[in-house]
Parts: sequence; structure tokens; C-alpha cells
Amino acid sequence: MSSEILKVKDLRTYFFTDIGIVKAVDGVDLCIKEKETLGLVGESASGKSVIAYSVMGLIPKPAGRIVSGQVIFKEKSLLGMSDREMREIRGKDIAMIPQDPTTALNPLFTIGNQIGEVIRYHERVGRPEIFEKVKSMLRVARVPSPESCLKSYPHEFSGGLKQRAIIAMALSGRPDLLIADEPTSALDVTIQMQIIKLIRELREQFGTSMLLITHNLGIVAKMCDRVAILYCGRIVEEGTARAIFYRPKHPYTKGLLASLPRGHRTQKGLYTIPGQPPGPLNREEGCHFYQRCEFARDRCSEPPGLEKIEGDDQRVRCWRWRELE
Amino acid sequence: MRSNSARAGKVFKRLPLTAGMIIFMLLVLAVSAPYIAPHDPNLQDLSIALKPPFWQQGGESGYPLGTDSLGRDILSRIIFGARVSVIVGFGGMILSGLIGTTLGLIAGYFGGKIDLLIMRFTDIMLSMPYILIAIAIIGAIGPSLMNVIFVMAITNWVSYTRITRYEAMSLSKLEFVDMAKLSGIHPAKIIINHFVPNVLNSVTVLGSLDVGKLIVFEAALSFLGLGVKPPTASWGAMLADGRVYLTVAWWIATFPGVAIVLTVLAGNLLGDWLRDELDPRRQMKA
Amino acid sequence: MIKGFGVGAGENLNKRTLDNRPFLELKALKKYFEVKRGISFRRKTYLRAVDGVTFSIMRGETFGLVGESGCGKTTIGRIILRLYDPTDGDVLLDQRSIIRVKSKELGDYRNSIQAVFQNPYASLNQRMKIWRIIGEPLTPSKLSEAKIKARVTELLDLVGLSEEYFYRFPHELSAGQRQQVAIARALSVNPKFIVLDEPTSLLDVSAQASIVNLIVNLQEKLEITYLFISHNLAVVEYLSDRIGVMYCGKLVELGSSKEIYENPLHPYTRALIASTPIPDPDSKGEEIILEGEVMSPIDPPPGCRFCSRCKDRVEECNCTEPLLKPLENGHMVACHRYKETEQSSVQGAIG
Repeated sequence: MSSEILKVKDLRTYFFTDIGIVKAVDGVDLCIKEKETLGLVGESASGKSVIAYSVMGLIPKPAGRIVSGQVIFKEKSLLGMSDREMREIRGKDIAMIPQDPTTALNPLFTIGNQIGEVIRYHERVGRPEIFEKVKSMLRVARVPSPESCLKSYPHEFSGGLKQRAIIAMALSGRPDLLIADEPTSALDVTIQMQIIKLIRELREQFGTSMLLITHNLGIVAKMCDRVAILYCGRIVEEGTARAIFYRPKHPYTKGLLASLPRGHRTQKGLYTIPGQPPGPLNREEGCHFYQRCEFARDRCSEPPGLEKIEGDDQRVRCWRWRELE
Repeated sequence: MRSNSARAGKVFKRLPLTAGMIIFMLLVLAVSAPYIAPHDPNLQDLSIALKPPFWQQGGESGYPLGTDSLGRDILSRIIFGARVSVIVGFGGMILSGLIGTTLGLIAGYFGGKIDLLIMRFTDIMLSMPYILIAIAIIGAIGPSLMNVIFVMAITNWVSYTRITRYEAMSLSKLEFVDMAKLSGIHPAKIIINHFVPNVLNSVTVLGSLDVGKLIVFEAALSFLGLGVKPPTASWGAMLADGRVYLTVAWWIATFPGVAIVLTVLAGNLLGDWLRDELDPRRQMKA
Repeated sequence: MIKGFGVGAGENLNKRTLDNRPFLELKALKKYFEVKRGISFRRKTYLRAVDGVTFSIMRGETFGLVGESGCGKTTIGRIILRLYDPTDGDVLLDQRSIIRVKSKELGDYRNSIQAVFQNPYASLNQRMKIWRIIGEPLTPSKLSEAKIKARVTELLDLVGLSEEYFYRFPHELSAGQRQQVAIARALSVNPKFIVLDEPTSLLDVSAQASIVNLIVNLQEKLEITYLFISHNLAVVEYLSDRIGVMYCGKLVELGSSKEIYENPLHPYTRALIASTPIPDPDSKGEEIILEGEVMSPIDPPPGCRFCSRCKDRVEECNCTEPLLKPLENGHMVACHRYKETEQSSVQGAIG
């Protein structure tokens, strides 16, 4: 029975602004097991990046605050930890790959310096040792000529190479959990493929669990064991990748999958989910998808249906999913 | 979305109160000088010359801040001096702002040779100390309120050009400019309709900070005798007059000095606040 | 298929009549940018963004232009829009050259070509009201304000935006709605040709779907010809009648949408198709992982530009540049070895 690396229970992260409270994450439950990859899928303003930052303890205060819920990493609660304790964990036990490799690297320092910084912080070793470790990580990340790469600056690299350097940086601490926030959306398609392959191999090699945040369903299909669909700060559906793609239960999931362009254009056109997602301040108490749902009934305006567990290890947040089968 | 008036109300509450009040008072004084001032600022009466402020021995409540070497009431001269400061400060700012912004937007939009030309021009302006230019020009055409404003317009436009050129260069890269070009819209229209509203923020901030700077500039010019023609009251001129009497009649120079400091301080505070307020990155605040 | 949503694949009810007359022609188009390399005064270095591209777009069709960064597709779009002057070559609209020609001489043709750009935030002036934004292309025509407003109302209806947005500002609209505004603006002058430069790349999946539908509907209604530039192959396959694949400033393959997907001949095209992740966990498409980086068009090597990343390269590929060879069905490919390389069908590559 594989253990749970990360368990998130009823997480609520709110931002307190002049014009109202933004409930970016509004009651999210997640669970990632050892060596498992969970895909967190959501469109803009769904709150997916906020979940990542909440887990890492990087929510900007005082504007944002984790209002309630639990984040348990390897049986330890992260929310109660002090800054110092979190810093020990970041980089070593939980690492993050951000979306844009260009802004994630400091243009004034060499790649070797920046990757070495992570190692230097977590392990007290001397300079030559650090460089050796950095070189070996770069080799692991399949960066060509690691020696010269060490001494180069970020702007001399292409997007793909930078992302590899960042992956090297993230994995240098041999973390148990890797959080990847749209790791390939800034890259060209063929380079994206290289990075996906790299991440998959490294995952195998080090047995790392991963939380992959993306809006790209193709990448989810290629990389994830389980998938959670996020809408307006709540998980509306969660299950194995096959379950989500082949047997979706929630109207939003179904709508999302139906609106992907496949094949050649047709007279009827692509399916479009009617309306717009409610703005972060305009979310009502009931089901957030209520206003756009074709199958909504009066019942749906009630406080949201709790996720029900199915025989198939799948969970849905919808009153009517059985009827809509 | 909250209504605009509700949002304006919230903004109003955050105004830096003291700074706002000082500037407000300044404007009130400037506008209503003839009605508020207790005496004619230019009325000389040697019999009451060098009277100290009313709380010192020898002072009178009729002349609350004392009188100068020619028997003119300091308070009235300060009130009328506010007029000069306001006219020069705002007038100079508006004129130099217009010149500088126009040049900057043109340079930023067209780029190439036009940009080069305008930039060389600004470099030339920057290399000449503004005081020397002021001396040269005023020396040639004589001191007067209008001439002072003229000098300011000529020397102060450079900072506007720099900012607006930079912004215009970024704006030119945005696609809506391409769309306008595609539709065959005249460059002047593009600059007026698209660029101007977008640079208004920075220009306003710069302008509000400039007012203080220009008031000091005017004071400096008047101090050197290059400002407004005597006997017109101006804070700088009063400083100049009061300098020689500093040890015997400190009030002649001190009060106008305080007025200058307060005004510039208030102007800067307001300008800083405006800059933070108008910063587009400030979308949410705790 | 998912019940109750969308339609089954394969319903290709295309009611448009596609012309066989070329509407827009690119002839040996070149665009070089000078690159300043340090203080060396030796040889000038050029970025060959577009290096001899020739193809035609037929009236009423949607031509998809795909490629990764630096391939030149956006530059081609800008040359067609006359935002850049080409270094060499020609662009003809209805057999008339439209470049290196003064704006005035274009006359009617100036409004024939319009554009919709990628960034919904940068393509609308934040400080202008929606109706002014949409009506702006009409300003040179000196129509009265009332007439312009009437036209804008028509256009809002045409793109499916409610009238309530007339007096609003861009920041009050979602990204998808902003693109609808951009499309309305492009349509204001009744163009016959629209360059769509990655119009959905920055949109969410749901917004993308509605914009794609809008683009299709407008073409049926108004008989517009599209050049659809994108790096997203799924959308390109969905929308395009014919597709051109670009790499490093050159056109490497051209053919009908069907041909390109079912029978891609150029190794780069195959890699591109295989690299597009399909939203299907069970899809066992061949994974072609290319080595190396996307080639930069600065001082490209002689011979085939794709050479350094190509698994099937031979000596010839290094020395001589392959030219676009026309095959049957209007399919063209620029590769020395297209016949010999494995014809592994990219099964299930989208759809």
C-alpha cells in the first residue's frame, strides 16, 4: 500500500482586497501517493496556481491567507510551520518548476551559481563539491556540455535549455514531491516533447511524486495517473486519467472535453460551454457552475453537492451526475 | 463592479490629508489674494519698516508677520506671492509638459532619424545648466512673469520627453497600434487618440512633482533678480530682500522660506501619492 | 463520444464553394533583418526570417501556416499586412502587387486585408471605449459618428456580443470577448482577406472553442479568405483547408489538411504532428522526439535547415538545400529523402 505524500483537506485560501474577498481556493481536497502524478486541470482564474503556492507556503501576506484546511506532507502538517521550517522543506522535500523559465532565473548570475545555491542551502558542502553535484544534475537533465553550461548566463540559453536547468535545479535536492506549474506552456511543441520525456524519465529514476498544473489536456493525458478538474476554486471532478477522459461525470468536464477541436471543421461547430466563468468576486454559494450548466435544476443553487465516492475511485461534485449518465 | 462614484469615494479617503490641505490652501490664497490680504502688498510706509511679528516685542496684530525694510506687510506679500508661485508653478509645468510630451511621443512613435534628432536636441538641452540659460534669456528680454514662465518652458521639458518617449516606444509595439496603421489612420491621430491617454498617468505624476520644483526655480530666479519685476511680491524676491537683514529682522526671509518648503513638500507628497495610486500594477491591496 | 455534447467526428458538411483562382500570392518572399553582433565591422549578419517563400491562397479558403518560434510565419503575416517591407520578392492580391506601393495607390485594396492578433490585452487600447475601438478603422472614410455607431451595432451582433458592451472598456471584458471585439474591428471595413495571427493561443479552451466557431461562421456568411497562423496543430487542422509547414524561414511542406495529417512526408512535419499531445490517455501515437534546439534563422547553414535534427539525414542533406517538390494532389515537400523514409502513419494524430 503506497503511502500518501501529500494530503490536502478542505483547503481555503482567500485574498482580502479593497473590493471584496477573493476566494481563490474554496474547499479543495487532494491526495497524491508515492510515485504518483496528479494532474490539476483548470482554466484561468480557477485557482490552480494558488493551490501550489498554498502548499509551498508562498501566499503573499497580508493580502492572502490560508483561512482553513490542512496541508499534510509526509504526515507532517505544513500549515503550522514557521518560515524557517518551510524553508528547510522547500527545495529539498518539495520543489517547484515555475511556468516561465525566463523569469525564474536571475539574469545576473550563472546557471551554475543558481543551481548551486539550492545545494549550498540544504547541504553544507564546499565549492568544488557543489560544482560537481551541479554538473551531475545538469547531465541528468540532459543538458549538453554541462561544463560550459555551468559558467553561462541564462540569456545565452534557449527556453528549452533554461527549463532543463530549472528542472535540474528542482531535482538537485532529490525532493519527494515536485510541483510543476505549466512547465511547458512557454515552450515550442517539439521542445515541449523533449521536456515531457525528460520529466517522465526523471520521475521514474528518482521515484518522485508530482503535482502537474496545466490547462492543456493533451499533456495531462500523457503524463498523469490521476486528474483533478478545478473550477472556480473547487474540485468538481477527480479520478484516474482514463476515468476522466472516457467516463467524465461532471457537466463542466464533459463540456471541456467536447470543446476540444478534433478532426476537421464541421457545420455544427465545436461545443461551447455557454456564458462566462463568474468573476472571482461574483461567485455564489451554490454550485459555481450553476449559471452555465445546461442541466441545472433548482436544487443546484443550494450549497454545493459534496463529492461522492464512486466504485471507480472517482469523485464528482454534482447533484445530478447519476441522471446525466 | 462597484460604481465609479463609490470607487472615487474610496480613493478620496486615502488622499494624504495634510499635503492635500496645504495645496488646497495655496490655491485658495492664490485665487482670493486681493480679498484676504490685510494690506496692499506693495504699499510702502517707512514709518513702520522692519516691524517684528506680533508675538515679539514691538510687533502689532495689524501686521501679524511683521514688515520688511520698506514697510510692506509680510503676510500680505506672502499671500500675493502665492499667486506668483501658483501661476509660475502650474503655468510653467503645463507649458513644459506640453512641449516635452509632444516631442517625446513623436520621437517614440516614429523612431529612426526623427527620434535621433529629438534625442540629440534633448542631450544638448541637458548639457546646459538651466540657470545659465535663464540668465541669458532674462538678461536679454528682461524680467517679468511671462518671461519666467517662458524660461521654464524652455528648460524644463526634457524630463517629459524622456518618459513619454520611452512609453511611446513600448506602446508602438502593441498590436492596437498596428491595427490603426493598417486602417490607414494618420500618425497624428494615432498619437492623439492612442498614445496620449496612455501616457497621461506618468505625465500627471511628473507634473505634480514638477510644480514644487518650478516654484523653487522661480524663487531662485527672483533671488538672483531675474524673476518677476519688483515691486511684485514673490517668495523668491522676498528671500533675496530678507537675506541682508537676516540677523536683525529674521522674519523677512524666514516666512517666505517656510512657505516655499511647505509648498514643495506638499507637492512632492501629493505627487508620490498620485504615482502609487495610478500605478496599474496596484490591482489589489490588502 | 460524450453524450449530449457536440457532434461525432467525420461530419464534414462544408458548404463553401472553394475557388481555384489564387487570391493572395507570395512569390519568392524574403525578409532579412540585420543583426548587430558586437563591435565587429566584418561581415554583416542577417536574421533570415523569411528566406524565399512561395505559395498561393485561394479565394474563400482557410490556409493554415504552422511552425514553431522563429520559423517566419508571423513575419509573413506582417509582410502581407504591409507592416514590414520585404527584402525581396512580391505579394499579389488579385494579381496586383501590394507591396512597395504607396498607400494611396492601393485604393480599395487597402481595406481588403485586415488582421486579428494574438494578444487580447495588447490589441485593444485599454483607454478606449469598445465602440470606438471597433469603429476606428472607419475613421478615414469620414463617415458621420451616427453612421459609425450604427455599423458598430451591426458588427457587435455579427460577432455575437451583446449591445451592453457598446460603451464599456476592454478591462471589463474577458479575454475571449476581447478577441470577439478584435474580430468585429477587423470586419468593420468589409475585408476580403483576414490574417489571423494566433488568435486563440492565449485563450482558455472554452473561449477558444467559441472563437473558432465564430471564425468558421463568418467565413460561411461573408466569404472571407483566411490566413490562419498558429503553432497549435489541433486548431489548425480543424480550421484549415490547406496547410503550409514552415521551419527556419522556409516552407518545408504544403498540402491539403487531410494530406498533411494522414500522409505527412517531411520529417519535421511528422515530428510536429507527433509532438502535439492528444487528449487521450490511451493513444499510442508514435513519439518522435527531436534532438537539439529549434534552429535560429541567423546565418543558417547551407543545405537543409532541418538537417541537424533529422534522424534520416544523409550527406546530400548537408550540402544542397532541398527545393519544394510538387507531388500529386497539390502536395509539396522539400526533402531529399521523402520517398525512402519510413512512412509510419501517425495514427490517431488528432481526431
